[in-house]
Amino acid sequence: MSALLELEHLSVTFETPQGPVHAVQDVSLTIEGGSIVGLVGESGCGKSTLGRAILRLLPENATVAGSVRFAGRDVLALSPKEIRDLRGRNLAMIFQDPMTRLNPLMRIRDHFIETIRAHNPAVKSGQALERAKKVLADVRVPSDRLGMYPHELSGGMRQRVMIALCLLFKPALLIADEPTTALDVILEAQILQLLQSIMHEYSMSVLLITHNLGLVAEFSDRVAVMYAGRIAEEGATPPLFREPRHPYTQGLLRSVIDLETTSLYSVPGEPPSLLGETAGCPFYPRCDKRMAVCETVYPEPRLVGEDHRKVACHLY
Amino acid sequence: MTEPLLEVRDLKVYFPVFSGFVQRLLGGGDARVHAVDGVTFSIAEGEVFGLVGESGCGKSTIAKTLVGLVRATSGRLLFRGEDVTRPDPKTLFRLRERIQLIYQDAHAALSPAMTVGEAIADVLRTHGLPGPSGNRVQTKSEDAIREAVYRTFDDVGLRPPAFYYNKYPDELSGGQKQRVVAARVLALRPQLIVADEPVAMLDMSVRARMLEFLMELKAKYHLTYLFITHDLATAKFMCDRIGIMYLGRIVEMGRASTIYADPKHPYTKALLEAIPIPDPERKTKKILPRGEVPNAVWPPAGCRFHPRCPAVLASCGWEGRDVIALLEERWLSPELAEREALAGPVKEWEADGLIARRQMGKTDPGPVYDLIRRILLESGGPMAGAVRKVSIEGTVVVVEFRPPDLLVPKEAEGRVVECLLY
Amino acid sequence: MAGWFARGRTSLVGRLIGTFLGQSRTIAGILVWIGLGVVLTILVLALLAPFIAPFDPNTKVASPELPPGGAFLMGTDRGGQDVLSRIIWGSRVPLAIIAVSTTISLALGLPLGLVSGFAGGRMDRGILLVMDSIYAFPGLLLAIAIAAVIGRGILNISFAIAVVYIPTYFRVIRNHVTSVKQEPYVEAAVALGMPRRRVIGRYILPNVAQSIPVIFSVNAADAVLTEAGLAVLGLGLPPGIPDWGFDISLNWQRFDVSWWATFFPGLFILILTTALTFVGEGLNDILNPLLRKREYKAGAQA
Repeated sequence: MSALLELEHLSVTFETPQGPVHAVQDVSLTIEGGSIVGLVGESGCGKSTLGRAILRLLPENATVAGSVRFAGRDVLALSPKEIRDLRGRNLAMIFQDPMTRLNPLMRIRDHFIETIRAHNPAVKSGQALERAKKVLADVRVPSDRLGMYPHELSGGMRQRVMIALCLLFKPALLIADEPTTALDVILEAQILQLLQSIMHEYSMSVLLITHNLGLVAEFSDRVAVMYAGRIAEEGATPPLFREPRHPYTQGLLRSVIDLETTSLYSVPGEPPSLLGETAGCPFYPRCDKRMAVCETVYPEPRLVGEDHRKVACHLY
Repeated sequence: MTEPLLEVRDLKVYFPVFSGFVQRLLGGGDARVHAVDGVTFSIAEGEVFGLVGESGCGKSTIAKTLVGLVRATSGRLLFRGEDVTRPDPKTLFRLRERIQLIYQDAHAALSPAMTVGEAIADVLRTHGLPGPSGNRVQTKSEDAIREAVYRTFDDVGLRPPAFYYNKYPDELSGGQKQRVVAARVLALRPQLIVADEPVAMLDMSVRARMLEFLMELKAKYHLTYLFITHDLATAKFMCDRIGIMYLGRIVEMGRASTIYADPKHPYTKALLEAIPIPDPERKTKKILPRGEVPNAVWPPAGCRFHPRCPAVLASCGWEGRDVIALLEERWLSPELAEREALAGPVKEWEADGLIARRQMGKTDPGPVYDLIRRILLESGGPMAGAVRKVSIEGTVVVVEFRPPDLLVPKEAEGRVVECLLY
Repeated sequence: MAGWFARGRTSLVGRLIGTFLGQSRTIAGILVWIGLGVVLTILVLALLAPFIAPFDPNTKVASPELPPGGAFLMGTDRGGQDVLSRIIWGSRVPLAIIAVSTTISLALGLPLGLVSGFAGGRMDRGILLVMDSIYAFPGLLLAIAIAAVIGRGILNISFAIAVVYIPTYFRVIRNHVTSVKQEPYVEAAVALGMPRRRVIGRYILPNVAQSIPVIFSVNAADAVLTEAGLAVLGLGLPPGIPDWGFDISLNWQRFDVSWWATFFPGLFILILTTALTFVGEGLNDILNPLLRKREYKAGAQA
């Protein structure tokens, strides 16, 4: 399989009144065609910024360095028109709260017509609606919802409509940023099952951004664990969960509370501020295996073990 | 048996739906959200009782009702045997010293314009200092109040207290704010603490610390908890007994160990099944309930879970609108939609209680009658079994259901469960 | 200094000042500093008028309509009075009116807004209706009507202007209260058994107070203009009190002959209102929490 998306040394810095915030630092990540990659991390680790950076959806105070290559094209070098065309057509994104992405004054049908015409102005509304009905059936939304306004739909239906809007042009990659965080556990499972089945139908890859380790374990082929703007560990899902190598991944997995939990564990300390410069490993203050070198030298990620996992830790 | 600390009997809380002027004219004005619809439970002293359910099931409304932020529509609340359902201001004031809330979002629960020391001092100024024998001593002495705040900070591990007194909430970390909120509640020396999703906003890596902290406080101050959460795993770890809520009712309640070992209610089973497990080696295809939680303004007839239930029976509460849902679901498949186009579109169907009907006007109702009978037969299942008759009344095709069997909570294998299966 | 204000055990005012000082080097902060500087200079002029003004403002000191220059920096007007002296003395009028009118509208608008927003329901709707009907009148027209009924004098004019501004304070405060009242910390205060007045005074007021300085400066700028407008229309202060607006009304017909007698009072009205607007706009950028939150979000979204 070929690489669909390649991030190389991607960094995102926000200028704020308090100083520069390094939300993403030197991230390299590859997504193969037809796979689900889970990007997992806690709040403020930069995972959403990373997702937005791929689509160039960052606010003005952000500066991006490094490269984003999508299907061989340099995304960061595209003209505004080209990037608009790429978004939605080849690269789509869904968000945590679909309500903020749907125009409350527009019927669902008009969302579809507008989206289709944005990329293809010649399409007649009749044709557009036919296509809308097809994708809606794929996400199991009855077609009479087309005549409704977003607030008349339930939370799950809205997220399905958002997914359908993304599917219109059969994108090669869908970036799903906490797509189910606002939903309850049963709906969450429903939506992810749906994503999984659609993905195969549409031969699409998914970048699943989430804080939920359980979701990643269940649905993703590969996992990247982010901490403080950097990728701590990245590899195929089963071995990474079986034998986490980075102390942060280890701590994170130990602290999960599930139905088999008999004793509690939490990673000591609190996540660092991304404000200002840091030398060394960002996890150093909380790490129980820290060494003298960790404080001053950042451990460049290297391939470790038989499963060729990328780990950014001086232990390896 | 000793008297329970808190007893809730058949509590109902309805909220009016704020509809617009025109809607009210059209007669939709008396619609009410059935947030809590007949809930009964009790909590023994020293216990951790968990209310578990998805958003909108009414668990947070119960929390707010207990501390007097929301008024009960009917039912009774008893605290140590004393009726506190509709407390007068003075009783409410005293009640709030004994029942307190811990919020999901510690940051939002603290006024950004007040130092955290002041936040606690303010509570002490209003309620007085805790006295030696559980009484409260009013004081005007700012020094005494400051001393008391220091002690409270010390109790929750904010040391040195003087350092924290003058901090504003946004100068503290998430964990420290949690402790401030706990300190503010503890300053009242409550007996029952209602913890409403206390860890939902916290990152996984620090969640356990908050739970440990809550257990520590419980031991130190002999507290009783009502623990409200959507997370079955946390509830399993924390609670002695739990009640599973769905759409305003408790569907299953009993000892946590009993329920987790062998869930009985189909909804409990579904919830447990849906939890994602962080172990990729145990990937299984899950059987999930269909659809979503219905609107609490018009809860389903019979068992509220029946439209989604995988183990549903003919007597569970089938009604007119379930026919419409069936047609919608069925016609998601383009072939079926085409083959059965005659009975469509869905919006021509109208539900009214146990009846679903379609006005045919000048067209012959015969073919639609035949078709709908065939559809019901083909889809088979418990729903078809609940149909009393399909008929033609003039120009209208009518599907009518039998009324559901009476559903009451029953004792079954060491727990209370509200399901016709038991 | 900013840190001292923001951190110490401070009052509401201290916290607002702290927020401002924390951002005093931004463009908005510089605007505020310029505005404040100008307003303070005019205030000093007004206070020290007897010592600074070269002549008595109400006596004929030279022949009428002398052009600027020599002993009369801004020339003399139709009555042979020194324009500069009249401007210095005249600065007392707008400042006095600002002080009195904003105090009145704040004293009425703020509590009404707090109570109305917190109580909600019928009472809120009632107060809202009254306030909206006042607000619906064009401000100057309303001030003219009130001034015509109750007559001249600094107090009367201030009152007329105050009435126009009560609904603005009310509206802004009330809307802010209705959103702050939803915050969990307010609910928590209620659940902790705090009496109503304490909830409003200690938990809501400090969190809506940042709107006050902003309306205050806009209100003040408008008060200056309204007073000048009333004076030009002949509804201003009685003659004998030097007043910029009155001077314009007295001299503007002779603009082609003695432009300075109209121009300089007009210029000062412009300077004062612009300065106040600078303060208002700058504070708005700094203290308005919505703007700040958005900025913060854009920065910290991660």
